[in-house]
Amino acid sequence: MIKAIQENKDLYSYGLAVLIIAFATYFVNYYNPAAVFWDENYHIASAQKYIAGVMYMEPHPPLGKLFIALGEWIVHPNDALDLTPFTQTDYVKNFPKDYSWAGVRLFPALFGTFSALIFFLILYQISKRAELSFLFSSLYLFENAFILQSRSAMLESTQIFFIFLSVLYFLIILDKEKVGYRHYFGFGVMMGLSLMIKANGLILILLFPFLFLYRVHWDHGYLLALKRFVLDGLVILAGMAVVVVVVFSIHFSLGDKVGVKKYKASPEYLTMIKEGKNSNLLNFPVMLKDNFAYMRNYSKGVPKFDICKKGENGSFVTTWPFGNKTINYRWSKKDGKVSYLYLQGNPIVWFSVVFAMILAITLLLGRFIFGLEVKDRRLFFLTGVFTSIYLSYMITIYNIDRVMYLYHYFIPLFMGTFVLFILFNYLFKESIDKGSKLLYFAVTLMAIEILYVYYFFGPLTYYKPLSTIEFLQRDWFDFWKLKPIL
Amino acid sequence: MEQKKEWVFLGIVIMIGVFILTKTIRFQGGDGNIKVIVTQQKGSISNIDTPRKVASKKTFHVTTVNFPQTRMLKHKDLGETGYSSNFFIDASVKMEVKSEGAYEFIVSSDDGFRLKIDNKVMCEHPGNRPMAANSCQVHLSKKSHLFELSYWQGGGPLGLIVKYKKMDTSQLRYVGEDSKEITFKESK
Repeated sequence: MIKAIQENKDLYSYGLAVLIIAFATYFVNYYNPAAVFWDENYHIASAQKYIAGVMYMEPHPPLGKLFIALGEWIVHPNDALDLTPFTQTDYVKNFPKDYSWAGVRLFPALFGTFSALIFFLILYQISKRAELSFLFSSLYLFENAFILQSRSAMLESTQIFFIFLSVLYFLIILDKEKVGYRHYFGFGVMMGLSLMIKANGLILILLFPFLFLYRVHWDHGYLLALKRFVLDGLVILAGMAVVVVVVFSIHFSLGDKVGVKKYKASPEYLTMIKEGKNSNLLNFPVMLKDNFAYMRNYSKGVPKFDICKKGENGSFVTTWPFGNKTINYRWSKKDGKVSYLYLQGNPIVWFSVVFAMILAITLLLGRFIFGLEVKDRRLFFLTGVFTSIYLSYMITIYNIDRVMYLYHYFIPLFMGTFVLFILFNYLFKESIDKGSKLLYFAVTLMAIEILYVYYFFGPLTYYKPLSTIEFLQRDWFDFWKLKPIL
Repeated sequence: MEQKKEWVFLGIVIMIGVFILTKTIRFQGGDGNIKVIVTQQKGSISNIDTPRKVASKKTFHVTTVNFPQTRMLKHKDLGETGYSSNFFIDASVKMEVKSEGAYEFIVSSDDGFRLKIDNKVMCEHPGNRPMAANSCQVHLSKKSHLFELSYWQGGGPLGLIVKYKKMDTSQLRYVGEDSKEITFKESK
């Protein structure tokens, strides 16, 4: 009893500490620099259309942009400005001089901040050790590239939040004695939310077969197991479908005016808007069909990766784990120094993940080829789960022709951090149980190193001025392709 | 066995720490004796005497004159510098000659260069060319001499490598690398 109370106390205190640190690294001053970068031009145009009630279509599902719009609607810092031009284009080129970013960047920054807490809880769910989970949370708290991405009106931090929620939920129901349809439905809802931000969230569906394999009782017969698999799977799909319907319904109902662009909407769709029937669920299939057709058509026009193209920012999937290629989102010169927003990860975090993946694959092969003994069934299983998701994601992306960027690596990167933590628990199980001071000292030292490297690369994350020499000091490897502005 | 693993883990963490320190504490590109001024030209350059119209100017310190052949100016002390076309380099360093005699300087460049010692032109290729080498023979007395090298790059591939040796020896070294015959010091 006393132990349980102490454990809860530790969980709350460390959880709070994680949230406070995340607030400092992810949230403070999130609205600066007061200047647009990368895909914000697109997403802000989309968000403003929701606020103005203008129908639009876009290649990404609507949920991420709905949150960007919600932030703007809650904070409404730009009420005095005429933002009508934003609703007449898909790419805002010129922002009014006094435009504030406090609204559009609010939810991405909040999701980035609160994801730290979910990350910590995932680690806690894996190890049941608050202090160890806290130290390993540094992998998320001080990840420079993801911090930068979260402090922008972009989609990745919102998606990662729901991905983490799905993973946490997966771990909770994995250990539950009884799991009913409502749990599977909830699981489907979580996965549906991440899917409704970007289509690559679909990778999470792989969690279901693993969940099934872990919980299934083969002794009841294969047929019964198969029936269970189909029924549970259908409930998960139902949960996902509900999210798809709700999110798209909101998207359709907010677009009750036709703007300058018609997005190749069918005459039926345009008539529905004209007659104010875009909120009617009966019209949902037509509107969804038009949106899907637009998405398909749009993706056909996305250029392919061309390494020979001058200024190509895309990169090849197999080079992502090493940090290739960084992207210079924005820069400005003042007093001989240059401020950058550079998509540059924390190399200690990124290389630790590479190391973890090599170790995990070795462990799995050792078991399945050489019959290596499994020390801890649950941890071994979890290593398999997250390693499979990592590899499946990379193989899927490998087979996509269109240009892809380093930030498409965030999902496998964080799956890799889970693998790292699981392997640590697997390898040092006895020492952790004994509370080895030497081990805790080493982990604390590792967390300090991550913090120090985060601080060192911080100017590229937070738009702090650097001289050319200072910039070159951060160019550790040629394959990152960091280039100073001269 | 468990404690052995813990020590191995601690060892790895310490090695990472040492790596981080060497990458962050050591002042890269700032501790060489050779002063290198890179001048970005406004417009194009056609030879070493093209009038200079400065768009920007940066000073670096490097340990050797060894910018390998590539499409972007890079150096082991600096990494990729971002310069790729229409720029000049002016490198200078003081040579303390300890053994009087004939020396050979081999200047490989793409595009052209001009080498001066004690303010006298010793060797040059003013115009455009792909990577090629010039051998320049110079008599150096036992005292301090000023080595000055100007280089220009138009477009396409680039590179600048300067090596030296005393004529009666065989080992070529990069300018900047000390030998029994010459030590290099920063020019004031």
